Amino acid sequence: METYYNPADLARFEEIGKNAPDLAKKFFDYYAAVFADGALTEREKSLIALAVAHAVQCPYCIDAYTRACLEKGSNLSEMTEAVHVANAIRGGASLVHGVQMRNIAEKISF
Amino acid sequence: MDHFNKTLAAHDLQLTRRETTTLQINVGLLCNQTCRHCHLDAGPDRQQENMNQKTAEAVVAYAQRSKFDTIDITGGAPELNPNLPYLIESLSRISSRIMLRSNLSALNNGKNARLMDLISLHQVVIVASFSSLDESQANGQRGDGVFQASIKALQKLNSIGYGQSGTGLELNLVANPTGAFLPVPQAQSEKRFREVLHKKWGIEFNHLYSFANVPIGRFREWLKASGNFDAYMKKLANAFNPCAVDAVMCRALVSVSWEGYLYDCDFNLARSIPLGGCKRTHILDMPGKPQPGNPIATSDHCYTCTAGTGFT
Repeated sequence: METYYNPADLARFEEIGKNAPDLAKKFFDYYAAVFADGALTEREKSLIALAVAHAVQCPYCIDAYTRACLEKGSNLSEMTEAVHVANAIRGGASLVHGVQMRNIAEKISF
Repeated sequence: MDHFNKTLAAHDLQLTRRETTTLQINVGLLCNQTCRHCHLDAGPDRQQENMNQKTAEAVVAYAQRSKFDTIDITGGAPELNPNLPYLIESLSRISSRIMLRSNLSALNNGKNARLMDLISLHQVVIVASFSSLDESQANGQRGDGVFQASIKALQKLNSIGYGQSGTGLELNLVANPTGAFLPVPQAQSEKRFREVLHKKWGIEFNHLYSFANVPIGRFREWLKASGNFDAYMKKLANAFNPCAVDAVMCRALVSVSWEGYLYDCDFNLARSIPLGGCKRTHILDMPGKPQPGNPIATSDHCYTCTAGTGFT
């Protein structure tokens, strides 16, 4: 069955540079610099990326950063907690807007 | 995926021996564990494939006439071979550095007090398998209870001076990935293991080595059964690093099996690919070290040792 997402496309990511090579180079250079060891370790950055991948619900990123987390030495407990962090922020972001709902409701209610 | 030799040729490289400085002795396939990444399919049922006294004596004689700098004793679990004390005592008179590869649980099983005394007396370097800081990952790879047994063994080794500065007793760890993925870069892994092992369990060690899992033996079977084989082989081949070829261990090592036959490395031994890809040679028929410049037999598993920073 055809789908919009094909796992093999992940390995073709760099093809995005075919019609805009300068922009792609800037992006991939920046990307590599972001994930290099710095004040945060590569392992910590991969866990953040895994959480963000779930927040933006990108199947390519989930695939890539599940593997990256394991290859950087993280374990399933840490990775599951990272996904919960994404979930807490996403859920919290919805819930905190409930204050806006309450403000409006209170304003227009007796 | 190209054959390994084709990839070497594409980079204008050849895999040949330099001076052989290490004799690796595989004393047998008997092991108390059945690790899922084992390239030898070692386990408790491999009772018969264990080096006997006669072969052990022939190995010592070969080491004597060849004068290796380093002896690297492996298995299976070498602790389960009754000839291990003889090998350590005899070989420590011949070579300056004796290494013992241990799964830790076989070393610290309550029956090896004499062996513990012997290894420290002869300053045998312990190279201990310790795959992960996470108990479920480690047990998933190595078997239930192995993680805690490994922690206790490392603490015991520390208590007799291993891994402690000034004792001369060297304790090194080997971390293999717990699945079909590449290892953590060695320097990063060593730093984290040192911090966590010290903080949680008060454990000290000298060095940590990160090795990729080799797609042969039990691990190959698992890769195939789980549908990971093709992707894993591609991952290894894509990570080929031409700079790693110069330092791969087979260039300076010769491996002898529990039966006394010679191989270019323990992985070729596991696949029965004889030394130099030629006719099988027994140590009784080997006058000395393999000659520098001799070819090294290769196969697809060689991509493991050239992936990333390599397997030295």
